[in-house]
Amino acid sequence: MTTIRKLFIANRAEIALRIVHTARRMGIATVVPMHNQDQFGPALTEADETVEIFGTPAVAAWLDIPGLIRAALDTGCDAIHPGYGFLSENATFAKAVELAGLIFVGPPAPVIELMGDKITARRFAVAQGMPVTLSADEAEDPTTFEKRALAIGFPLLVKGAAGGGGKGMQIARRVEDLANAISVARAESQRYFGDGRLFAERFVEQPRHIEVQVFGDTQGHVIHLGERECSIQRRFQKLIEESPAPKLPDGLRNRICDAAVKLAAAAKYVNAGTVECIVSPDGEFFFLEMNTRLQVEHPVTEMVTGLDLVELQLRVAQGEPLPLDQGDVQFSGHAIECRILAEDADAGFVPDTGKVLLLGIPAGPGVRFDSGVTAGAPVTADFDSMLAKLVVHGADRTLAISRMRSALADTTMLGVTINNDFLSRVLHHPAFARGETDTGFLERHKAELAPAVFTDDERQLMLAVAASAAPDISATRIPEPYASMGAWRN
Amino acid sequence: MAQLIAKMITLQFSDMPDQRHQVQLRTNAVYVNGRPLQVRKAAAGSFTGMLDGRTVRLRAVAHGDTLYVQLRGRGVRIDRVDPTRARAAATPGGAGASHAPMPGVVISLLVAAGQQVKAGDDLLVIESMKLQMTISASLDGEVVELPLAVGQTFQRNDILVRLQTCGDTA
Amino acid sequence: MSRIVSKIDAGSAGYKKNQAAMAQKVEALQSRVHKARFERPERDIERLRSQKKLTVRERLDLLLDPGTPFLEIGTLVANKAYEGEVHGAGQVSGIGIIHGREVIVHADDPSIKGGAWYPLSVKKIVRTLDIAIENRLPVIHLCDSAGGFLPLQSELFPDRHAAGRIFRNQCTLSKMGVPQIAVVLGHCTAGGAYIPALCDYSVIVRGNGGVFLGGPPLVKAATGEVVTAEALGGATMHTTVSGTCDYAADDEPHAMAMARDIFANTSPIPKQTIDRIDAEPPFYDPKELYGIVPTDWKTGFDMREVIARIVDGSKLHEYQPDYGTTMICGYARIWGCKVGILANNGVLFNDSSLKAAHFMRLCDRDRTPLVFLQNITGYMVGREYEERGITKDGAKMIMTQVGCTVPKFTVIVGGSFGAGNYGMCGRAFDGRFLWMWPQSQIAVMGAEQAANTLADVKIRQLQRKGHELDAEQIAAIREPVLARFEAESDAYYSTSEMWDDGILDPVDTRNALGMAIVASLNAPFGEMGYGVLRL
Repeated sequence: MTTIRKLFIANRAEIALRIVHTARRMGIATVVPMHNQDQFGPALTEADETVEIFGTPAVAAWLDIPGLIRAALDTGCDAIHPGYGFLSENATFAKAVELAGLIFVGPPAPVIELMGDKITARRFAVAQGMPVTLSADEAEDPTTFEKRALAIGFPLLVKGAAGGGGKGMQIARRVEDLANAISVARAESQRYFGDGRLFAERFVEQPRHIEVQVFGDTQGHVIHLGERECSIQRRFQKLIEESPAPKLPDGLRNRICDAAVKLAAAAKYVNAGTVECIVSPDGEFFFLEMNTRLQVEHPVTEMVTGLDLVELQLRVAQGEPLPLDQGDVQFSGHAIECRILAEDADAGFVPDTGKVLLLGIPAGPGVRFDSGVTAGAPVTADFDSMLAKLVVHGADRTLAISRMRSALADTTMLGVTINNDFLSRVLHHPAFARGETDTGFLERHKAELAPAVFTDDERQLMLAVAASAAPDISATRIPEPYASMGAWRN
Repeated sequence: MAQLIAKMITLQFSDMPDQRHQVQLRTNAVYVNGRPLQVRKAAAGSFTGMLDGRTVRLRAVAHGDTLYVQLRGRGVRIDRVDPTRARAAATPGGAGASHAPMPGVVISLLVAAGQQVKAGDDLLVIESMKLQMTISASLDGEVVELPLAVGQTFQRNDILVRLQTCGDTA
Repeated sequence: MSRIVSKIDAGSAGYKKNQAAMAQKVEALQSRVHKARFERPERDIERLRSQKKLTVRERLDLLLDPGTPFLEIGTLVANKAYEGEVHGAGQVSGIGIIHGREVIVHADDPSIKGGAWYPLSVKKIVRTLDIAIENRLPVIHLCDSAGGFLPLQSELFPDRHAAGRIFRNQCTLSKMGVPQIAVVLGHCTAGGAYIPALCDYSVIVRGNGGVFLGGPPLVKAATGEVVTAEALGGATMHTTVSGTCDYAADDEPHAMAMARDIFANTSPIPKQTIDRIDAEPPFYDPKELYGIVPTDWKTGFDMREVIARIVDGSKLHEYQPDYGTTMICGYARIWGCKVGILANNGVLFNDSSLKAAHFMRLCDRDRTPLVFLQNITGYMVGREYEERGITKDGAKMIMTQVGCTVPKFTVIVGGSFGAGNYGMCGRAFDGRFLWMWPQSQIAVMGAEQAANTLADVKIRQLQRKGHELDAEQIAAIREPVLARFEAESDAYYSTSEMWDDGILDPVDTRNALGMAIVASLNAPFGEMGYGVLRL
């Protein structure tokens, strides 16, 4: 067991802040790196130390393994938490961190390697008896790939084997679409991941994206902390997540969670991880992939279990055993998370840039706001468009939805277009309230989710407020007696 | 003794640029196109007003000549307009046409037809009376036409370049 | 100064009678004013809209600072002329505020006969510019006129104070350094074209504005040239080719914003200083004026009660309170400005005339503006008074009054008859402003007296020829004279002919005086001096 005294957080924005909060509570000092084009993160003022990292474009600094390790060593840290994205699932990074004598807060490098490659992960899952969708791996035999893909049947999902996060994926619904889907998916995978090898699998219609939070320690204990539903997605990227998954029969839930634990245990999984599955309308589930890191949507699990997952990560990284057994895990109430993105959801989700001129943070019972920006922060195209996560807990799903609606209306980030009103429309949609969540939700209800047209009265009121907020406008001091006479006419 | 400050401002919505609205801030109410409305400032950036007989909250912040307003969670951008400046597109050829200020000759073309440009980008260089001038884009858009070739002469008011704004992306 | 002690009993029958009668008069006034300002035939308004024009009131709303007062001059001019169809003579004039500074506006009203100039329209414009000259007020011309009303050209063109005087006044203002801005919203034809040309700055609206010495029909008739109004004298030509106009506006709101912006760039000059402190409203309710002043001018009342409902805190420092008691003289404040008040409280005698003259001298020497509240039938007549020199004393009062160079303001509260009008600064005596009340009367003598005098003459004429007249025949001679005199003594007749600057609701008197006094401070007071007093 090694106590972590000082933690280097190789990340930024809201996850860096979130990790700083837990570390501080545990008495661990924190160092958060800073790039000179990204100086407004809230974590930078709350961490104990910051250190400058370098790279052009800015995102390169966060992928610079030697640079980050050097920064951690220079500041006297004994551990590195990679957050999510960036190098969090990079086995080379995990190895380099260990070699440098630092603790990597995450699974061991070999586990990352095993689960990081979609194809090896799938094979491993099959070997553990985990159901998977019919698939074809191009690498096995590139010349027969298209024929084997055809044999799976339609609809078919063609995706990059090395990819993830929704990029490099194409759906082919008919024979005629296959060739095009293959070439587009290949080009995208090459561009985003530097690897054009493909993988084809059966596409489940109206699938629900259900994932299980698992946790392992160095003593071989593995537990699950319940499932999350992440079906509300646009362009394969998650927008709204919740726990527990609505209208999921208990039997199915238990089978998915147990299978996830079995898979993680077999992989000798240590630290936090998520097993992602798709669930068909008939109640069948299929392994999709495993993410060997803390996920963006982890707060919904925290809110229904009352646990601090970053604390668990740090304890496990220190070599401690998990402080609770599966039987100790309690689930209470319902939690929903909405990702606040800098984009114009009504104009095809086009990303927006600008500056956060006015920040209004929603508050109230059961409301948690993980912000990645401070007032005055510029929003550029350099980084991810997620500005904050809004997470809400309620005794049941209805209350959670109601609280989320209020919180979204209270969320203010003026100066850049955000998607809070779009999210609000989803939360108000009767199909969402009925729990009819699947990955086709947004596309299916597109017309109903269109924004209402502003009424003339609303526009006039906004003009009045705009004028009231404008500084120094043609102001003239009216002298006496005219000021007192006001608009008098004889 | 009442100290009256008369504030008048001309505004337009970014999604409705053809309409201008006159707003006057008087001591008792805010007048929008002549209609009085009650607006109260609650805190920095926070306001309350009335809609359909109910109180609503709004947030607003200014940044230069742009105002961002949020009503019931929905944000809009409102721009301040200088009332003495003429509306765009009042000249023949549309807002996207640049006219020669005096007779001269085209020295160089810096863009090509079909090219996307942003307002302020340099488009072409002309010379007249031994003076060289760079003509720049008056708006974001696409270069539709460059009617003159390098070395070609022109008269005052001849069109030097035609631009066109892009439509909204779906 | 101390507060006037009011002796009015609001419960008395007399008060209630006055109150009811005056309220009725005021209601009638407001109704007529509203009609003159706002009621127009639908088709005239539609024509404006189709031309993308605003009404003159809408133009003023955009031109002047919001929430500021506007002192309109001569709202009911021409109410008894031209069959009552030319409200306000088709003109709106008044003092308003732009960027916190006083301006005087002359605006053609295109919704009345196309804004054509009748003889009284010209008189009103000349008067507006005379006020501008006397008070050094910057002028904004809102030009939108069809031109002179040809059938009455002999009354509006040739004379000394007719149309030419408008342009002469403009030149005088320019020489004085008083800024003038013209906003050409319609056609400025022939003489009218000189208005923008003689202004320091001019704005012209595209499509509607036109400036030309001869319009297209005249040009065609004169030389055969065919040309459109826009090409002949429109915005683009005058702002890019001829330089006759300075700024081209896309539409009327744009033009008003430009005019405001141009005005903001003119520099104010320091104002004349007078004794001025913070204002205080009257202690007594001005609405009580309705119950104090009878609508029949022959019935007397105490003018102190009127003063008490106009001046700050109802306070008055009375000068020579026990001497010449038919003339009240005293210092008071109106909207904080110290003024000298002269108010009739009966017929003028020797002592009251001398008191008035002395008091006016004190005010002029100490640079205190004068406010005259008239209710005068005339000077006392009779042998005793002639022997005492009433004519000399009246002459001294007039001589002194004319010699004053402080601003003078007159309100005809009751009657204004004969020579009493002169001494108390009637129209001819260069007061800055003069107003009537709804029940006021003005004539060389009372209608009854005049009718009797004229009928007398006629009766004796006929008697010398041997005719004896019975009561009915006497009435037949007398009645028409009486009727005519009564009509011509009426406040509405006076205002129609622009013998005054408007009829005020008594309650508005304080604001009108306050605004006028403060506006008058834009002009420096002249050098002191007066003619020879017949002592």
